[in-house]
Parts: sequence; structure tokens; C-alpha cells
Amino acid sequence: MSEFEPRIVAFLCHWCTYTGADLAGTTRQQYPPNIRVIHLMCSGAVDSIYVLKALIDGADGVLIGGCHPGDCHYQTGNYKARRRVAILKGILTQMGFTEDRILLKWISASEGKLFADTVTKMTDDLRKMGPNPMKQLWNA
Amino acid sequence: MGKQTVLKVSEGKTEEAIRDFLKSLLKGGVIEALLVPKRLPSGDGFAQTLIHDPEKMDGACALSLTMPVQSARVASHLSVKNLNKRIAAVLKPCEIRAVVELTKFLQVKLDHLLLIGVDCPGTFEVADYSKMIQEGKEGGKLEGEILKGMERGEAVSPEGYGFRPACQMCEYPTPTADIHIKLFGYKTEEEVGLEIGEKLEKEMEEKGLVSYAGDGPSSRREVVGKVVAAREKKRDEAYQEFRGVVKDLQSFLDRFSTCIRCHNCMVACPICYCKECVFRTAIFEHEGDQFLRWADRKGGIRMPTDTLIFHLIRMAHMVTSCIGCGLCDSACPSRLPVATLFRSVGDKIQKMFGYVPGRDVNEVPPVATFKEDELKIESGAL
Amino acid sequence: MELKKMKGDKSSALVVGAGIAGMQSALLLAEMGRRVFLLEQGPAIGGYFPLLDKTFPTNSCGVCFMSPTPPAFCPIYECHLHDNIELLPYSEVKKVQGTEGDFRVSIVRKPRCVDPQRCTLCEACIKVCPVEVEREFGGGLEKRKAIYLPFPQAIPHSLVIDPKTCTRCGECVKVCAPGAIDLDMKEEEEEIGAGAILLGFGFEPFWAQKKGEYGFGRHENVLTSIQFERLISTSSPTQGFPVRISDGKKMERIAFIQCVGSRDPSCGQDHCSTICCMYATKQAMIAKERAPQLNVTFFYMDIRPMGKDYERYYERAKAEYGIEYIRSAISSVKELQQTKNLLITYVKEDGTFEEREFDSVILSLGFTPPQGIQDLAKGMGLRLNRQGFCETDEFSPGHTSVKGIFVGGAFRGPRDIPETVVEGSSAAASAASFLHPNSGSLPKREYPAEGALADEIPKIGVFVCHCGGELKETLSIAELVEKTKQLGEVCHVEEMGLACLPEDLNQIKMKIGEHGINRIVMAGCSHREIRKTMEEMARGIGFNPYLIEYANIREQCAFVHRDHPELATEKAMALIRMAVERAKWIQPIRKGSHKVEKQGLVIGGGAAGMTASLRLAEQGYEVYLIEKGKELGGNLRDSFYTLKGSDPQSFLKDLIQKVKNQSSIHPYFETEITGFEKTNGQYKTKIRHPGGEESLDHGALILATGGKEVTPREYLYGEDSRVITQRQLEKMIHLKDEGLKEIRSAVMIQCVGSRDEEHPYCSRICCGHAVKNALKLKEQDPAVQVYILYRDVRTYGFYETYYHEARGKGVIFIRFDPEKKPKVTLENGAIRVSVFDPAMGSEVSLSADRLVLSAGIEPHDNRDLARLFGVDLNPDGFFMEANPKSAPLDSVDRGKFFCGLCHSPNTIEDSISQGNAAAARTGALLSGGEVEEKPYLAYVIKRLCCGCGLCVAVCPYGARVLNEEEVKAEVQEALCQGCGNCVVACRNAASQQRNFEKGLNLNVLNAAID
Repeated sequence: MSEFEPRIVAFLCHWCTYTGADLAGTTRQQYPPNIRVIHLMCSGAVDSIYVLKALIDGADGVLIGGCHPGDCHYQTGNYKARRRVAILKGILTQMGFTEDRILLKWISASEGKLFADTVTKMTDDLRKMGPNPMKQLWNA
Repeated sequence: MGKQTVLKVSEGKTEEAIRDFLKSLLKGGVIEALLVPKRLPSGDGFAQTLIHDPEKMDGACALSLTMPVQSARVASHLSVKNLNKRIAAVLKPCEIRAVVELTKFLQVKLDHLLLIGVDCPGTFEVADYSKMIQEGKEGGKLEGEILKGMERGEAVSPEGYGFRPACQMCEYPTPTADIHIKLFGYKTEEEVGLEIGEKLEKEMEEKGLVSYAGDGPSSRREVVGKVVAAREKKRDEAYQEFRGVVKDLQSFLDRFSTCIRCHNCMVACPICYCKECVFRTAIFEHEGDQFLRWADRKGGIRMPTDTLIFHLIRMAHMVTSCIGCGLCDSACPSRLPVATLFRSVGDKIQKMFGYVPGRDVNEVPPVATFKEDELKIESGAL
Repeated sequence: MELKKMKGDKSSALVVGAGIAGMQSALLLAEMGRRVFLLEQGPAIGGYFPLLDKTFPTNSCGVCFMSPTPPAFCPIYECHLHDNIELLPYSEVKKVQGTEGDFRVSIVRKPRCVDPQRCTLCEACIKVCPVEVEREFGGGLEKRKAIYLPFPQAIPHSLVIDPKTCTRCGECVKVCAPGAIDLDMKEEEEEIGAGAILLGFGFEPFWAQKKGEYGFGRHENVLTSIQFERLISTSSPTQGFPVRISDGKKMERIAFIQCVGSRDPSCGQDHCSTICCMYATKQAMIAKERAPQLNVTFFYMDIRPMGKDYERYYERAKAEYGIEYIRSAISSVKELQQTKNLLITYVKEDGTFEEREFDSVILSLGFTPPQGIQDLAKGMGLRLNRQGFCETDEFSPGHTSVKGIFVGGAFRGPRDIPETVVEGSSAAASAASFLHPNSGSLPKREYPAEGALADEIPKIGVFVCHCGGELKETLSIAELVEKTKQLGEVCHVEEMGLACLPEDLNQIKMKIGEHGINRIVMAGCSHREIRKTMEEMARGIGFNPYLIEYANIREQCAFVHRDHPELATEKAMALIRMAVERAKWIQPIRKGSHKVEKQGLVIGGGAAGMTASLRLAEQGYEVYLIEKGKELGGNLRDSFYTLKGSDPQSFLKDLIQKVKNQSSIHPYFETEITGFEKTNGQYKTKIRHPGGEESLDHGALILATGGKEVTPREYLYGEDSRVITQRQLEKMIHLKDEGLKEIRSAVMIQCVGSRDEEHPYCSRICCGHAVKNALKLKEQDPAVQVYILYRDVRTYGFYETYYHEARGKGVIFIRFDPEKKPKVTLENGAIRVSVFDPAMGSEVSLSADRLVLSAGIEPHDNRDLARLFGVDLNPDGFFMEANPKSAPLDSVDRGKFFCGLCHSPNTIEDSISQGNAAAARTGALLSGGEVEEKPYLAYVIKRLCCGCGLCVAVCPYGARVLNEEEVKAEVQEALCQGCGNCVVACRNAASQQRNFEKGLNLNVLNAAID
């Protein structure tokens, strides 16, 4: 049996990161098939419930992709996303959980390679971290 | 800073002197009604009461030693819609701080609501207080002893009983209010401090209800400092202990595994203002096959589900505004240290944004705003 | 050659050149309901900006904000999507016949040799193509084949064959599975009918080889700025990390040489290219962000960051990024043999020589006019200026010398993106005014009525497309089809070959009828590729287009997991499962529309405000023009001649007359604004004027409140009457004031109230103003001594030639540092100015009969207006735009625009352009008389809402309001853009978003994890 294969759930904004992920395809950037992309209109529309649900229900990592600061198509959604993720990470850290299974990343529509590299690196990192203990809890 | 004066106490009847002062607000037409804790007829507890008739002030007790409900919630019900006449609420510092937070979330409207804050020595669990009385402690006497302790800045409680843990670690024993009744540092059998805020400063004087004089005892500052320092020490010990116990996911779950998902913490919490919690909406109602899928994934799941996420999301929603009243603790049938958890986590998160909940109604809650240049949490170049 | 039937008519517009200006013109005219042909000579539209990864002054991209209907994708894609725009890529204009208002334009469609409809971009052909050449995109840093994709986001999204290098070996034809390649494709001629032609020819970078002394083409590590731009783009082969060309080692010390092909008559380029200081500074900053250890040195003559917020940017480059700027002239660039490093010898301001070694040198190329358009220009009768750019009248900047032909952007001369966006808009406004108002607006397409699908039980049809076989190389399509059949509520699954082609689309239509399908899942390429086609198909049969879901198993699966066919198939299955899950819960969306008042409100009766009012009126809208003073004209009343020699007063007279003649402009004088209300995109403004109070309904607002000359507070101004401002001098000259005779020596001091602590921005116009007045003084009496004490001479664009002229006529320019400002004293009643001259290395003392202060521009106090109208001000007090790059005149809130001096310091010409542009943006908004809602609107479940106001706080568009009575939040549907931020702000899901409901998203998440 090969090594552990992590499962990544990604929430990508419609305008920048989802398009960047498409560009990774157009330009045939190869990355591991461990990621499942959920398309939302804005990174500012990613609810903490989604992120935690994903981690408790079976994901090993969660990627949130949005437009770079200043480029949000809804002006400021990415800044709000950043606060939300910071709060969530803060809570998890304080409660003795690990927060590094959540990755917030700004990836523009022209950064196909960056998207591929991000997924590759995240997959590698999660492989090293091993399975997410949260998802294995029957009593969570 | 408001204007200072004192309430003279005759024959050492502090409670009565304060009651008379509060009565004068009703009689003098400053307010239409007063929300104030009233000693229960049985004598073994207090209940917040909305009093309209000044003659029904008997038993009204500004210094109530239990907190059966967080009165910020009551203030919310009273003021959020169609309150057209001025009322006042006698509140503890943590209740006022909750009111400040709720005001930011438009759940309290201060247009017709005056806040009367009372220095707080701490409160007992409702059941403990009742037990003390039933065991023969005399209500008025107990309060007298506690007031004496307040003069010196010492926490006095009967043998075998302590203030609620949240109170012991509360670093806000004094409130900011429209009328502030000051007890710490005062010889309360002789006089009680009064500070009248800007809103009422003139009116109270014009109506002859107060005349301003004196700054009160010079020792007050020191006394309050002493109380705060002792509580901060307690607080830091509690954080340390908690953080020592809850080191990782497993230890957290072990500590909180007896949660029965009753949602009492949420119901008691003044900041959880939702009419219906998202965890009680259809979003978290699932059908049988869904539960089976989950059970299938993990081999088995605890029922009912969504316990951990409930606590985490409740925290994500309100931890920046947690004012540490600890009613969640009191409400928990499993005696889980919910308040210590929220305070310990809240401490870090609030500092992240330089935010102090309950400080100022004009401070914008971190969840309602952002800065362009902050929180470099986005991972850098690969 | 075959001649096709003429497309278009008098009511349509032809835009030639699909760069930023052209795309902007096209998008705006299309939004105004015009039919637009957008022609581009290259194989893909976009111009230069696909090259730009980050733009100044925000160091973000921001180009997507360009569309008149934000939020939007990149304008390239928006042009492609717009129903009213027909793209004519890879085409050239051959001949323009007919006359104004009724042009017939012959165009040639060059053969792509690849059918964009059939090309799936599988790139099999690229692998076999034996011809490798330098890729044009990015200045030849990379290679491409003879069959290639111009750049990754190219529209049309298909390969093209370069006829110049193709050897016709035919290998590509053999491997092309969909049969998209035809090497014998012939060029075709077409005829376009158009009432107006808009030119957006753009610019070309200066040919670096012409400045042989800098070694470009000989020394490997000498790059052009075009190449460096590519190198530091995150999509470059190094992902933006700056490395040396010769050996791939990381760059450590680089130099930028400014003005290569600018301000240099010796190579035929006597103009300033305006933006090189800024773009090079940006490149330096980005490079330093990518490689923080990098040392960057600039060699420059004057630094010219004159746009809005540019000065701050330049200061940041120095202070925060540690970029070094050396005022100097380059003496030589030598390559060192061993290291291939470059040794730059330069002369400093004080005349001393120095040498510095760098590992790479970047040449900041200037702009030349587009090459190869001279014949066409001649054919059209277009007048070009001496430098070869399009000549326009100073006061009608969008008009060429030929009636009916309009121009915007860099074809008028070098300019940055915001100006280009403004001018693209301005040209659109001029064209819209020229085309008969409201004639020939395209009728809305009619579609059959939709069935009532909302309450039906989902019957999901899944179509799995293998994209001409390519997806089969990675995915097991058969397995996907089989497994999909097992999913709940799926009633039909079918494999498709090329779902985007009519054959397959017809098949889908048939199956919808056959199986009663009421939800479609299209598994195949990205929704971005096929959505338009699918939605059009759906509308055609009365199927609600929002009931189609897309499973992206191509771009986000097959293409990127080629080495893992099994896992890729597993993932594809998950993507289909997720799309099916979504399909179960989505509801049909029928977009409502909201009436907008067809009136515009313009505040400010200066040049910008009057121009905007006129353009709006000419488009057929009623305009309320509010002026606080007693008469129209604003600052224009104090301007008597321009540097270029035009007469502002006669222009003003004419403009006022036109405004008065326009019956649909309703001017209000001595009027103040007392109130403003908005409901769902409808505005009501209350005004008070001597005649009483009024309430005006309008659909758009243009703020043109102007600005004023800073009143100097130094250099004895106000204490000695001989100390005056440039404006006062201009008036003296105009009135032939007696005092002029006294002037034997005039000293001018620049940057008074600019680039200082109180006004930390460049006022842009003062250098030109000083040169203008200096030339006038010299013209009246060549013996007059004129000294201009400056910090940087910022005579950008063609103004540079006047600076040159002034120097030639003996005007003496002395530079000073802000730390060593000139000292002004009275000596025996005479004014003396002493200043340290860095070129001499000593103090010089000048006597001044008049001391002329070049006072900067500042806005009026707009704080009250800003609060009232709910718009923002920047720290300098100018109105703040939604995006400084691509939406320079728009407020974040829909329907509010800025123009003129209240936006930023501007010339008259710029203000007119901005007035035009604001009118174009307004016209695009008001044209239909209604605004269509966005599809994915937020809504409120009132039972759950507790009125906490968090949704109101986070909504960037003011689309959330609190109903105070009910204590419940509400959505103003006309303003909601569908971002979903309010949904997340709401703790208990009382706020929801159509088809992105929290529960729906959680269900999809569940399907993702399964």
C-alpha cells in the first residue's frame, strides 16, 4: 500500500482563483488529484461552518482561494475572508488543535502555475502531517 | 468622567439608602420604570423585576448576589423595539458590558434605556446562594459582610462557598454607566459613592435629586486596583491551568466529552442573540441516509451529531465579543468549564484585533470590519 | 476571394484595435445598446495588458473592474461574452468608404488556419510542429511553435498558425483529432457598415536596437522593459522570480535606464513617454517583492509620477523598497567578458563621472506610434502629429480630424491605463452622441416562455463530454457514465463528443424532451468555456439557464492529472457527484429588473460638468446641472491660452452656448444640495436655490465639483504684490497688463503647494503652466530673463517639446532639493531669490521683478457632499474611485461618477475627456431605462433575522438596509451583486444567497468528501 493520500477540499472564488485553476488546466500544469473544488462567488462567502464541517467530516486539508488584496471583484470580500480565517485559526490553535490544515491563498486568474504549485505543496505537506485526526473522531 | 457625590446611609442600612435613591428616580420622573433585582419572597434568591410603581420597591436590592439571568438579554427585550419611554436598568458590570456589545449588534437600543451600574463583589451560583440561606445564613447580614470586604478590597464569602469562577477571574469589578453606584473603598454603612454621567448630570441636579460634592475616599483607587490584581491573578492561573489540560484535540475532547448538547450555554449567553441558532435550523436537520453515510465514513458516529462544531462555530461567532460573565458555566448541566474556554480563547483573539468587548459602543466589532493591511496569514511564496 | 454581405449599418460602431481603449469603447457602446464590431489585427484581443501581472499604483491587477457592469471578468472575456459585440480578430481594415455617419469599411479576415469552433486546445499539433521561433508575447523571452496559442487567456481561445514561419509540413493536420486545421484556409474580405469608427491603435514600444550604445541585442543581460515585465509576471517560466538571461542565476544588482527612446530627438523621439517612470518603478517594486535581496538603481533625468496617487507610490519605492534613483546621464554600458555583468558609466548632475557594475540592465522603453498604420491613416484622411500619433483638437479630445472617426488611448500619445480607460470611454461618448440618439439600439432577444420548474422533483440529465476524445486519454468516460447512473435523481446519462457543437446540442435538446429533464449537469470543460453556449441553447427551448450545473472534468481534472488516470477518474466522479448534488437543490432564477430614472444629475458647471451634461443630453437623457455659483465655467474662466496654443475663452463661450441651447439640460444656479436618498438604485436629491426647494429624481450622479489653485503660504506671497501665482501672471499677459513692462527678470518657483507635507501629490499641470508663461514672456520680449526653479520638470507627453523650446529660447532651469528650498528675501526693496544649484555646486542669487509661484491644485472641501452621497474621499480630499486602474471615474456604488478636478489635478483636455467618459459610463447604465438584477441575489429569511446589522456592515454595495420598523434586514435587489458576503456575516443563516444557500453548500461539501 502506498503512502497516505490526503483529501483536500477547496473553496475557490469565482473570479480569480477558480479561473486560475482553469488556467492551470489550459496550460497543462500537473498537480495531484487530491483536491475537490467547490466554487463560490467570493472568498468572502466561505463560512467557517464549511471549513470546520469539511475537517470534521473527512477532509485532511481545506484550501480557500481568493483574489489578491486590491483585486477582489466584490471590493473587499477577501479582506473579510482573511479575518474570518484568522479567527478560525486562532480558535483552533487556542484549543490545542492544529490550524495548518487550513490554507488561505491569494491566486489570481493568471496564476495557473501558482495554483498547481499550491495544491502540490499542500498535498505534500498534508502527506507529511498524516491523516487529519479530527475526521477520525466518532465523537466529534 | 461624570460628576461625583455620595449617598448618605443612615443606621448602616446601605441597601435601603440605595433603594431610596432608586425610588427617587421613579418619583422624580427621571424614569418611567426601573429594572432592578428584587429579593425573592422566599429570601433565597433574586429576580430581575421591572418596577413601575415606586411604592413597589420593597425588596429591591441593587447589590444582588446571584445572577439568575444575564440582564443584558432582558435589556434587549425591553429596548429593541417600541420602547418609547425612558427606563433604567440596575446592572452588574458584566451585564453592562454585554449591553454595550449588544448595542453594537443593534440588539439593545440605548435611546430610552439608562444604565445604572453597581460595583460588583462577584455573584454566587443560584443554587449555592439558596443553599446558604436555607442553611441559616441571613441574607442582609451576608451582604453586610461582603460590603465590609468591599471597603477593603477583599473577597468575603461564607465558609465552604465561593463566588462563581467567572466572577473570581473578572477583571472588571466596576462599571461604566449613566449612574454608577460605588461600593469599593467606601464605608458603606455610612455612605455610598455616586457618579452621574453626562446624560443625567444636569437633570438630576435640577430635579434636586443630587448635589455634587467630593471625590469620595482617596483609598478607592487603590482598593479597586487590589481587587483587579487579585482577579487577574486568578484569571491567569485559570488560563494556565486550562491550557495545561487542553493541549491537543484529544485532551480537549476528553475534557468536553460529557457535553450533552443541550445548548444551555447558548441560551444563557447574552451575546448569542440569534432568534434561532443556526444549529437548530433546517441546515442541521438531516435525513436518515445522511446519518448512515456519516456513520459509514467513520465506522460510527456519536448521536446527536455536531457537538464539536457547535462549540467551535459558537466561538467563531461570538468569542470576539465574549465579556466573560460566565453564565454559560452556570448553565452547564455537565459542569464543563465553558467560560474558561471562551475567555482563554477570547483573550487571544480579542488581542489579535486590539479589541476590548464591552468597552465602548463606538468600537466596531472585529467581525464587522477589516483593515487592508493586517494579519499576514496568507501563506507566502511557495 | 469571396465578398460577403455587409454586416452592420449606420447605427452600429466599428472599433479598430482591441487594446484597453478599444475594448472599453466597445463594452460601453455595447452596454448602450449599440451593435459593435471589435476588430483586432492580431490573433487575440487584449493589446498589451495580458502582459501585465500587476499595475501601478496599487500593485494589484485590477483590470477586471474595467467592465461597465461589475463584477466582471477580464474585459477580454467580457467583450467575448457580450451579446452586442462581434469580435473580428486577426483582421485588418483595408479601405474606408462612405462618409460620416455612413461608413462602409472593407476588412480582411486573415486566415487562422485553425477553426476556433473545433479546436479543443489539446495541443497535439504543438508537440509535432517542427518550427520553433521567438514568442512575441513578452518580447521574445520564450519560444513558441508555428502553431501556437498567443497567450494562455487568448480570446478567441484557440490556436493559430503563423503564416510567416509555417513550413506547411502538414504534421499538425495529421494529429488534429477534431479536424480543426486547414492549411489552405484563405483570407476573406468582409464589409462592415458603421455610423462611427473608433480607433484604438495603441502604441508600440521603442525599438531598443536603435539605441545601440545600451547594448540591447548584443549583451545578453540587457533586457527591455517589455521582457522584464514578462520575467516578473507570476505566469512567467520563473513564476516571476527575476533571473539573469545569460546563466539563469538570480539577479542581485540591476539597473533601470530611463528615457530609452523618450525625450531624445536624436532617435526621432522628442516626446516624453509619460509612464515609463511609473512602470519601471512598479517593475522594480515587484521584482523586489519577489526577490527581497535585490538591489535596484535607476538612472534618470527627471522623475515623472504625475498621476493620482503616483507621487506617494514613488516615495514608497524609495522609502519602503530602498530603490535608489540617480539623476544622471548614461555615458556607456559595457559588458564584462567573464561575468557578463554590465559596467555602466554615467555623468552625475554635478558633472562628475562614476562607474557601477550590475548583473542585469533594464531599458525603460518609450512609446512610438503603432507601425504600419500610416497608409490606412492616409486613406481615411486622418491627420497625424509630428511624432506620428493621432492628432486631435485640444478641446475635443475624442475626435480625429475626420468627422465620424473617433480616437482614444495611446494612439493619441503615450498614456497610462486609467487615462486610456477614460479616453476609451470618452471616445465612446463622442461616438454615441454622434450616432443618432436611441436609433438602432439592438432589440432584446425574445425567447420562448419557460416552464414552471421550481416545484418539480429534480430529474437530472447528465451529459459527459470527452472533448473530441481528449479526455478519454486520462479519464474512463464509460466508468463515469456507469457510476453517474447510480446517483439519486439522475434520470439520464449520456456520453458526448463535442457538446459545444450544434450536433451534440441538438441531442441534448432532444433528451430534455424525451426524459422530462429539468436539471442539467454538463460534465466536461469549465463552465467558463461552455456556459454561454449552453445558456443560449437552454433559453432557445424555454429551459431556465440557471438549472444547468457544470462539472469541470477537463481543466480541473483530465488536463492536470494526466499521470494518474485512476485517481483522476475518481476525482471526476466526485466532481460529477458534487454537480448532481447542486443540481438537486438549485432553483430556477428569473432575473427581475428595476427601473432607473433616465435623468442624470451633474454637480458642478465647469468644463468637466458641462461636457458631461452635453454628452448625456446628446444621448437623449434629461440632465440637471447644479452649479453653486452664479454662472457656468468654473476654473476655465481663468484660463486664457494653453501651452499648445488653443484659446480656452472661445471654447468656453461655445460650450456655454451649447449647454444653453440644449433643451434637455436644466441648469440650476446658486444651488446647494440639501438631501439625498436612494432606494434600489433610484436617486432623489433635494436642492435649495434662490427660487426655493426642489426634489429631483435621477438614475445617475456625476460629481464634477472642481478644484482650486492652492493659495501659497510662503515666499512672501500675500506680503509683496510682486509675488504672484502662474494664474495671475497668465491673466496679466492676457490683459497686456502695464506691470509686464517692469519685468526684466522673472523667477518661477515650482511645487508650491505640491509634493509637500500638506499636499503630498504632484499637481501635474504646474510645470506645463510655467513653461507656457515663460514662453509667453520670452515671446513678448526675448531679453527678459526667466528662471524656473524646479524639483523635477514634468512636461509629460508632447509638452516635452515645449520644455525643449523653452530651454532653446534661454529660459534657465535650476533644480532644487526639497531640503534646500529657495530663499526669498527683500533687499533694498527688491526681491532676491537664492537657491543652491546642484549643477554648479554653489548657491546662486537671482533678482526677480516678479516672483511667480507655480501653485498646485487642491480640491474644494467635499466632505459634506461625500457624506451626503455616500462616496469616499482619498486622503488628499479628492473623490475616490472604485479602482484606480480600470474604473477610475466610478464610485463603488453603482451610478455615481466623478470627473474633472474633484477627481485629480488635470489639464483642461483631461477634464473634458473625463466629462465625456463619465457621461459614457452613465449612458451605459441608463440606456435600457432599467437595471437587470444579478442572478445570485441575497435574500433574507425574515423569521430568522434579528436585525443585528452585520450584513449591512459587510455589504460593499450598500445593497443591505435595515428596516427600522421591523428590525429586520432587507436586500435592495437592484444593488446586490451576489457576492455572498452577507450570507457569511449572518450567524444563523437568515441571510441566504440564491443557489448558494448555506445548506446547499454543505450538501455539496458532503458530496465532495464522500
